[in-house]
This record gives sequence, C-alpha cells and structure tokens, in this order.
Amino acid sequence: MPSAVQTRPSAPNAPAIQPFQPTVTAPPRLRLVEQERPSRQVRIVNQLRQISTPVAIIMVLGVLPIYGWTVLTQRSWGKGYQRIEQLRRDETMLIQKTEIQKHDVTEQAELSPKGLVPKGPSNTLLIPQSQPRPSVVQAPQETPFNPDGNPPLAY
Amino acid sequence: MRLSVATPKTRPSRRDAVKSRLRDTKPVNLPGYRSRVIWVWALLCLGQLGLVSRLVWLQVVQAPILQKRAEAQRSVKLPPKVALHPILDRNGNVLAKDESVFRLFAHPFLFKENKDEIAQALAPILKLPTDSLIKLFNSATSGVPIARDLSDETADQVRMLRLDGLELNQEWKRTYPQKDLMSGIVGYVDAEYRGQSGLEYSLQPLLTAKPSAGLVTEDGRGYLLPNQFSERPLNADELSLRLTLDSRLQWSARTALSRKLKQYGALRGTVIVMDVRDGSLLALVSEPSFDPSRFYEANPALFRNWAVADLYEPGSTFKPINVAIALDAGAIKPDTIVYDQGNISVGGWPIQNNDGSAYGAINITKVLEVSSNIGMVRIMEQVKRSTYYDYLKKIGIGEITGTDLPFETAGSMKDKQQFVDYPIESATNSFGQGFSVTPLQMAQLLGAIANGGKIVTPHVTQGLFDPSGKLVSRPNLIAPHRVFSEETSASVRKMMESVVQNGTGKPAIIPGYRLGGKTGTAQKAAGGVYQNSRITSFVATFPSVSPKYVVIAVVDEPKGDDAFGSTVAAPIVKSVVETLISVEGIPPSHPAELQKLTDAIPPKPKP
Repeated sequence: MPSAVQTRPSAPNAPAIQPFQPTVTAPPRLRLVEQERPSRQVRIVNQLRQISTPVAIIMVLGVLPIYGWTVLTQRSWGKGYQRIEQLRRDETMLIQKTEIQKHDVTEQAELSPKGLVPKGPSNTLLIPQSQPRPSVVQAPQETPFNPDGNPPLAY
Repeated sequence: MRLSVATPKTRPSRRDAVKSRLRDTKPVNLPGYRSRVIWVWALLCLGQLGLVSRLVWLQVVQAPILQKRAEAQRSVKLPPKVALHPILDRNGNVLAKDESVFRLFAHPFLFKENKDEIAQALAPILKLPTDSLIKLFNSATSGVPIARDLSDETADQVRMLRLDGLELNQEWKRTYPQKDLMSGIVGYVDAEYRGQSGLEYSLQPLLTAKPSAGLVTEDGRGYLLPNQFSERPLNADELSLRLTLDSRLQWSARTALSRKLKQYGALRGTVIVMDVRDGSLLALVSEPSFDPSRFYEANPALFRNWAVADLYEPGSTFKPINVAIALDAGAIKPDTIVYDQGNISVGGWPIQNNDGSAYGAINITKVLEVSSNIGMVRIMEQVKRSTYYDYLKKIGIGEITGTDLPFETAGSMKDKQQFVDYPIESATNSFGQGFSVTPLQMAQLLGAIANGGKIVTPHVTQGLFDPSGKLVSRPNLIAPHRVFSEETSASVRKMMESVVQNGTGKPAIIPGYRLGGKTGTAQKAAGGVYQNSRITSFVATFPSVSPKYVVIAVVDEPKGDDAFGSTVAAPIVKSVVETLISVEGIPPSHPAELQKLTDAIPPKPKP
C-alpha cells in the first residue's frame, strides 16, 4: 500500500547530518479500507427498516376508517333496530285502535242504521264465474324467403 | 523542505466526523459502574417479569371470569314483545292482543332530589296533581305504587327524567277489541295474566310466548349491536293463533239471536255455524255474554260457554238422526209407510203428537215434515233396541265431542240394560227426549248427515301461524270417522229439504236457495219431571245439495204460546244463512225464484 506521505529523494553528496524528518503517521480515519459488501439478508433487512415506518403509517391510516366504518355500521344498525321497534309499537297501537273503531262503527250501524242495510242475498249481486279461456298458442309464422322483396338497407 | 500531507479526494462530512468521534470515544467507567448496570438490568428484567406474570394471570388464569364479567356488562336480554300470542279470526281481525304497559313505583329513601321537585316533574307526565304525588311519597319509604297501565311513551318520558328512586316495571294488558262478541270463545285472562275461560284457558300453553332465547350486545349508549342476533328475521318468533271464526257471521248471528231473545223474553240462546267438511266453526254465539276486559263485573256462570258446557234434550231436531239410524240399520227404507194414530201407550206411558193430531199412514218424509212423534216411535220400533242403543253410542251420545273449547260436558243417556228392558226409553229417544246432548254435539251429529256420514270434531282453532302465514302448530283433534253410509245421509238430507219446503221449517225458506232443516220444541225437565218451560231449536244443512254448512239455533225458555222452533229458532237460522250466502258468495241454486221476486217489485215512479 503506498504511503500517504512522500519525501523528496536525497542527493548523492548529502551531508552526514540528516535533516529532521518528521514521521507522520496517517490517521486511521484517512486510511482507505476496502469494506466488505453487506450480505443479501442484511440488505433486505435494511430495506425493510427503511420502508417499515411509512408502511406502518399507511396501514394505520387505512385501518382507522375501516374500524370507524364498522363501529358506525353497528351503531346505525342499533338505531335502525330501535326505530323499527318503535314502528312496531305504533303498528300494534294502530291495529288495536282500528279494531275498536270497527267494532264501534258496526255497533253504531246496528243501533241507528241510517240507511245501512245488512248484507244478504237480496242485495248481493253474484256474477257467475266465467270459464277460463283456452290458452291460444300462436303457431310460429314462417317468413317466406324473398331475396328481392326486402333488400338490406345497410351493411 | 516542505512537507506535504496527502489529503483524501473527498473531505469527510460533518456527520461522518461526529460518528467517528462517537466511535472513538470510550466510555469512562466510573467505579461501581458494572454493578450499577447489573442492578438496573435486574430491575428492568424484574419489572418485565412482573408485567408478563400479570399478563399471564389476566389472560390465562382469570380470562374466563373476566370474559364473563365483560359479557354480562354489555349483554342484555331482549325484552319480550308479548306474553301471550294474539288471537285472530279467519280474516285476520284481532280478537285478543297484548299491550305493553308499565307500573310506576317510588322508593323515596333513594330520592336524591327534593320530593317536591320530583312530584312537580312527574305531575304533568302522569297527569296527576302534585299534592297527591307528595302525599304518596310521604306514605312509605319504599315500594309506593304511583301509577299503572302507563303507555310506552309515558314510561319513556319518566325514564328521561333520570331520577333516582323511581322504578318502572313492564306489565301486559290483554285487550279484546271485539268486546263481548267473542268472549264465549276467546275467554279472558285475570289480573295475574292467567286464562280463566275460553281459549285463553284451554290453549294457554300454546298461547304463552316463549322468552327470547339468547342475549344480545348493547353499546355504551344503549343501542343494540347486531353481532349476536340470529340470522332469522327479527319478527320470526311473533306467532298468532288464528281461529276458524268469521267476525261478520258472528256479528250477524248474535244480532239475530239477541233480537229473538228479546222478543220472546228467553233465558239464553246459542247459534252455531259449522263447516261440515272439517268441523271448523264459523260462528259460535252464546247469549248473554260478557265483556272480557271487565270480567270482574260479569256473572261467573257466563264464563262457561253453555253451547259446550250445558246439556239439553234436543227434541225433534234429533229425529233426522234417528231416521238415519233406522235407514243405516236396514230397518226401514226411504219410502216405508208408518201409521200415526195420534196417541199411543208405550209400557203404560201415553205418547202423543205435539199438536195432538193423527196423520194416519204417512211416509218417512212426511213424518219429518209434520214432526210426528208417533211416526218416529213406529220407525224406531223397527230397529232392535240393543242395535238402536249401539248406534247411539257409536255416534257419540254420552261422550264428549273432543272440541278445543274448554269445560265440555259429556252428554247423558240411560244404561244399556234399562234401554233394552224398558220400551218407553227407546220410544222417548225416538223423538229426541230421555237423553241429553250439548248444542255443539247436536251440530256435530247434523254435520254427519250433511257431509255424507262422517263425524267430524267441531273446533275453532286453525293453529299457530308465523308472520309469513306458515302453520307452526295445530291442536290435535279426533280424526273424522264414518257412522252413516253416503246413501243414508243423502236420503235424510232430501227429507230435511222437504221439511223446509213443505213442513214445519217453512219460516226458514230463502228464495233462490234450498236448505234442509228440522224444527225442535222440547219440554224442559227439572228434577226428573218435565216442566211447562220449553227449549226451542232449529237445525239446518246448507246448501241442500252437497251441504257445506250446518247451522243450529237453540233458544232456552222463550215465553209465549207461539214460542216454537219454527217461530223462534227458524228465523234466526234463516238470517244467519242469508249472511252466510253473502259472506261466502254462494250462488242461488234456483235463480228463477229470485227473478220472479225482482219482477214482482213494482218499478220506482220516475220523479
């Protein structure tokens, strides 16, 4: 490995006294070390580490509305159920009131008919049931082949 | 000399420099450093162990208990929608239905507000004066009944006050919109909600609604959550008991009966309309009746429907049955002639016709037309007494019909030995006296004549139906069984038609239609002795050809010399059959008669 510090080469008649040559040691941080290429698994883990945070954020953001939707749906179902129960109660009340009114109206009609007459054969018009018509089956009509009669209007 | 230091091509970034410095910095290990690290590590480990242990304790050991506690906290039982299933007539008209009501109690020792404030808040909702509420609050410290029969809306308003010390209890109130029209059949429930008469009593196990099976979840605001609901439709358990009765026909029958009861000052009366094909009752009226919602004001004797529970001697209305027995036993033919001399003595007992007349040599049809007692005695003399007795047992005399209505009484008749040994027994039986049946059994017996010889079980219940109209369950009834042949019943039907066209049943004639009938006027017996009071009746099969219905009217103790089956009961049956024609849309069998009537009506003068 070449030294990081280079000195000028000495002349042939060089004096005995050697000039001071400071030894300079290269700091280890400046030494260029040929690093080993990380393994494939490490690289995958590293990549996963890099993308895990955004993925987690996206997933949380994606799950939150779904969770909210499920909660909302259940609550709206509950509200709907309560509404239908109320409607049923109203229906029951209406049925009872209608039945009582029907009874009262009939009773009233009996006590003071005011032109109302009970239903009987003398005031009932009975129309005899007509015989069911025989079903007419349409015979398939054959279209005569006429090459000149209906020329095609378009392609 | 110049020193030169080779610099890398790229200068390390600041970040790298920081990293490098950090890497090169060696921690300064102060004394005790290692032990402190161990202690912290141990503490953390201990803490973690504690957390894990607690987790295991909660999630594994305590899990079932906690799960149950959590479920109990959010699970609620669905409140029942009804206590008893509603009862409907065959057209879906409501005859009995539950109404949810609330009873309000106060527990003043739990009040957090002033009594005056609570009374002022409650007064407008309950429509009660504040003073009386305060008086009630002061009457006891707990369990003070404040109001009952509160509606759902009122209960909600009370609940919304969110006051401590008020308790709302759900109760049920059975309403009967038809009032006294159907009380003889439907019955009533008492204050404890137990059926005490009618179908409410006899079908109580069938009518009692099953409580909702499982628990459902509710959220913090009290809304129910769908996760524990069954996949069945929410109202799938709402069943209803459907009857075979028709309210319109019932009303018409009651009107006709009430009118005659009033006209003749009668004690009571009943009208029964039965479909002879399966025994289903279209109308069953017993008068007087009671309002089931005010049962406490009624005479307890009315709680038992007398058409089912009381016996009477059918009199002449039983003559067609006797003729059928004699024909079926081969003792007579439809054209057999018997001699009616007006009065006879049987075993020393005098027997005579109702009107004292003697009709001489008459055929079977004539015997029925004039309702000859002597003629009937002569006919039944042709049947061996033991055979006659066996036939009476075979058709169910002395037995119950097996109807689904409660308190049915079995008819009564003499024992076989007495019947065989004493000729007077079979003689009185031949014109419908000496034994007793219920009016319902009489309808059943006539039904066997009308439907070609089969005894069917009279009933009022179609069964329990779900909201989609699917039959869920039906009460078990005795299966139909044959007692007369087709030919026998056809012959008797023809004779009964002649009774209406030519005999005592003329008041029941309906122009354009044909019906078979038989009048009956029997003396009432009390303590083994016949009294002056009578019981009048009329039975009809309609239409005369291929009858579908039997109509029977019985009027007990009508007053007046003109009170007979033909004058009291026949017009009732006629009126009921007229309604039946319009309700069922039965076309006339003799339209020419109707045409004649129309032609006879003078046209209205033009204004």
